[in-house]
Amino acid sequence: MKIAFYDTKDYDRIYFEKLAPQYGFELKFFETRFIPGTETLATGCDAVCLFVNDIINRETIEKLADIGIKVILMRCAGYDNIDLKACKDFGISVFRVPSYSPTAVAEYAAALLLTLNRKIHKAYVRTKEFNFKISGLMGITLRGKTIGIIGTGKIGKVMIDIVKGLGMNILAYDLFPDPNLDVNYVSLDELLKKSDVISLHVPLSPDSKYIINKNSISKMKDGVILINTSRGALIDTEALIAGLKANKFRGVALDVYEEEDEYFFEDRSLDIIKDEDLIKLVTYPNVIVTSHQAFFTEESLQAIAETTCENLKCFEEGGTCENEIAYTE
Amino acid sequence: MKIAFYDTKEYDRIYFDKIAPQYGFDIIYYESRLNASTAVLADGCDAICIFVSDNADKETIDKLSEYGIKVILLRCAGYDNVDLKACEEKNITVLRVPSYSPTAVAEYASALMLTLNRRIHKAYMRTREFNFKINGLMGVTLRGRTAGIIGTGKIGKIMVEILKGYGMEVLANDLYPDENLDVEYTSLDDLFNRSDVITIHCPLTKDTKYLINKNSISKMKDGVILINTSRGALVDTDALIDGLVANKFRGVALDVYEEEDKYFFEDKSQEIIKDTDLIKLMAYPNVIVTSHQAFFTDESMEAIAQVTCDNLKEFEQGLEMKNKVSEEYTKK
Repeated sequence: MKIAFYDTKDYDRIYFEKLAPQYGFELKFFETRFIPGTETLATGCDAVCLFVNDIINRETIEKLADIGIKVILMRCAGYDNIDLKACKDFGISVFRVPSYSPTAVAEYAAALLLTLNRKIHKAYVRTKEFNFKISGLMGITLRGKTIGIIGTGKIGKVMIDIVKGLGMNILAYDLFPDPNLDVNYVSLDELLKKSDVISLHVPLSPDSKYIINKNSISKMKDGVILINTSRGALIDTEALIAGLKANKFRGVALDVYEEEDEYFFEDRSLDIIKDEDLIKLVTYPNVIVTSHQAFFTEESLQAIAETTCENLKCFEEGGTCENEIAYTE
Repeated sequence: MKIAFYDTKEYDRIYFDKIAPQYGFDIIYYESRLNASTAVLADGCDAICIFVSDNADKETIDKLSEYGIKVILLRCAGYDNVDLKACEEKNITVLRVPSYSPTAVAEYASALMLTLNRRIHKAYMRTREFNFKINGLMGVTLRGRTAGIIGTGKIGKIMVEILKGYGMEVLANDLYPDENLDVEYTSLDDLFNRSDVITIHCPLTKDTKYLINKNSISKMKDGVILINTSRGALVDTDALIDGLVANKFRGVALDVYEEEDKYFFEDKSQEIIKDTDLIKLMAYPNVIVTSHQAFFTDESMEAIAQVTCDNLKEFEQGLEMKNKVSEEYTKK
């Protein structure tokens, strides 16, 4: 099978090139994102391998079908960017990698919390300049403080193990509490009111959109630390900025951002940035913005490459595949 | 009682000002460090309060005695900067803060490990410039990997708990293993051989100086992460730099440095730095150097101020002084 690989980064290449020959797959790597006009690059291939920001609508799907593509391999978990009905209409199967790195994401959320609390991001900038003063770099001891974990799925559960090791008290909130999980579930209001640290681990849905808004921020403790490694639109950015300006937060760490699609994974350092909110967030001293890198470990990329190849093998052999995404009315 | 406070930083003031009045203590703050020529600032005081970089040598102590100083309050644990014999001769009592923040230090060591592993120090520099590429920022998943803890005193013990929370396999080495600690004690050689992360929590002694040297580095796994939040001289800087140049380390985080006395806590950004080793460490992308800030939390500062004031109160009221440092005490 021949795969056209779009939106290739050097790190994708390393892991897929290592693995594909064992499956007898041939890869053609393209740096361009998959957007209207780029479909013909896949001519002669059987499958395309795509990523979160690619544009997979009726128009591009029809063109793929025209040139003989039978499979779309998503090398990520989310598939809200795909017109599944169009895929069905044109006889294209869609596969994804449903879960590859809950541990990597939880470890990253903890890493952001600790970096932010002890201001290592600022310490590093100072010492690089040989400024060894520590005024202003004071943190708090986390042991004995309370962390509120919103969302107790796979990632939230690993996060609970980690913060237990730190000796923190844990409050959890989830629409569907896990009765087997040894944690104190409370209402969202109580969690907001009692937590010194709040970490978001819920998926984005109509219910969870802007779960952090003006009203919920007003319920939080002064000096709270907020960590978001889930989805940008869980937070109403304007309300967050208003809270930051009012000195509500000890710190905020964001690995995701509402408008990240236009910026993340690209070098925009020589552009005039139009997004004023992003400009503000990046300049505030108690905010760390990183570019959706929570998943980004060697183990995750290995798992993504493995599952993607397994998905195509499964299609090739014609079995039923648990990672196939079917269109449902 | 009147205290002359040397080497004052703004954060010291905040915490001491909050509680000194409750003890009836009057504090005069000086930014200068203590030495023979600044001793005169203490004229008229009963006590001086000093920190790690102040110099209380014989000459200074003789002068302090002339100015009527009866007590030296160390607002830190270490006392190698005080000539205890001279103090005894002049009947000056030395009191210290033996332990204030094992949790803060352990949490900081784990913070450095995580920052370094996930390259957040570099990510932050990039995103500040609106460069949102993530190439090169890849980390490893820590769960299931092996951490080696050298020294299982108060700080090392908390570190064991934290690392277990990450789901890491924990190895430990200590001259005096704690039988009650649920951890696999092993030889240093075995620890070097098997660990993906090595974190140092032993004190500096003649035996532990240059514990991390050319020989021990050669025994470590390729791609090891090394964290030092204890004392700079536990690591032979030359050997470390050789290892870094040979790509031995995934990363190295140092909150302490052999020659830190000349640099740490000061802004040296406008000076020509003469220490070539320090310049190299700063230049390497997989090294984080921070300025001995592992202890630096709200809770630690509060504890330091509290214990220091309690120490002076015990002296004032003629109570037993549990934090007294004497020559005899150091021999124990």
